[in-house]
Amino acid sequence: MKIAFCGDSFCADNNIGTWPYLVTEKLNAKCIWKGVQGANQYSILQDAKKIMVLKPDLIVFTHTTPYRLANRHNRPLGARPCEQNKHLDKVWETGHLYYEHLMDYGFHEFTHIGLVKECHNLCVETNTKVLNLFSFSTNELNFRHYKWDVELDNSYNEKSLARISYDFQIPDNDEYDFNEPGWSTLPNHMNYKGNKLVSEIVLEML
Amino acid sequence: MKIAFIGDSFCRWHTEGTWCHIVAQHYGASWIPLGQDGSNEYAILQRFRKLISSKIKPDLTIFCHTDPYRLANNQDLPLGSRCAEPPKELTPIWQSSFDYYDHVINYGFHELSHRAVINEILTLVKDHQINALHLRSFVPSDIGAGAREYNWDIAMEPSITESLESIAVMNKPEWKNHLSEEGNQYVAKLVIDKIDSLKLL
Repeated sequence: MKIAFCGDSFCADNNIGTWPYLVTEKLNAKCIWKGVQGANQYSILQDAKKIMVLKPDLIVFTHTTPYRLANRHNRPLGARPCEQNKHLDKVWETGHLYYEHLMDYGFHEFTHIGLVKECHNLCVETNTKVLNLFSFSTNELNFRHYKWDVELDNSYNEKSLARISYDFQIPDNDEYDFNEPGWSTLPNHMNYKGNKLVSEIVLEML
Repeated sequence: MKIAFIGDSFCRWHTEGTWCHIVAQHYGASWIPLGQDGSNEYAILQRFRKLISSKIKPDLTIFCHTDPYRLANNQDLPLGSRCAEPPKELTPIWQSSFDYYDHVINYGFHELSHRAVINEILTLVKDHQINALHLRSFVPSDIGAGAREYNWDIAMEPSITESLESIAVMNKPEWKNHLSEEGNQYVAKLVIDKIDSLKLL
């Protein structure tokens, strides 16, 4: 069995103890794709198209926020990274200027809804089993013009991954034998207990 | 009777001799002018939403759908169109838009977004039972590279398939709505023939 985890940083770490790892292990499957830090929703769709070529048995999406900027370099152009990196080169600077002067929130929200649906439709059309998780929701980020939460078949809308992560922010590396002592990390933005919970949600949906 | 014209610069002008004027006059209709120079498709959707939520109910709404590569922005400026005339001294928004096209634009994203916006317009037309006719200001073959990743010339009914840009190219010099006087007459005839053949009015 081949599983692809397609999305943003909430599924970018598939090392031991993380929720993609736990799901993959439980299903005795092979992980063929993982998420990308700072991915925008258009790049997630583009990744999904590439994944289709690999003929996965299951795709688990972590759909991201609407407010990241699609760009031809596939860089993580969010408002904060652009602000922080604006001095590095023209692409970052342009991203920053986009957020400062141009951004239309409604347009981002509207296109986000279309892109999420397109991801799902791609799987339906190719008869690929799909689960949709959402990294963020309007409960945390609110909305301006369009309520951009999307409800789909096989989607988990009860809590966003960001909301789940808020309850699992204290690193618990030392409680797990597979970690070297002294490290404190939050893989996929949450501790290992949080990762365990997400894996249970996914497995229950399956 | 009222006819709404909503879209980009191809339906911007309604003065005597323009195709919008000829069509409205032919049916003894008044017109609701919602064409805007350099409009992007998202702005067209927003104006259409306002029209729906207003108490004005046109008997026919004629759309001029634009190209996908214009940049939706919070100032509703004509960014990315040939109608875009920046101020002599570039303001930050204009400079940012130039940088956007130089360094960031993802054409596929624009094309896919364009399809989503048009589909939303078609859904609104259906849901609100609006009598509509769709014109294409551009089709992919009008633009140098054509469609890059997604075919953005999507099916719309009822519609005229011949693009206004292709008519404009054949009808120079430009007078109003990017067309010569003859070009305006030609478009008016196309529209009137379509309205009559489909009994839209």
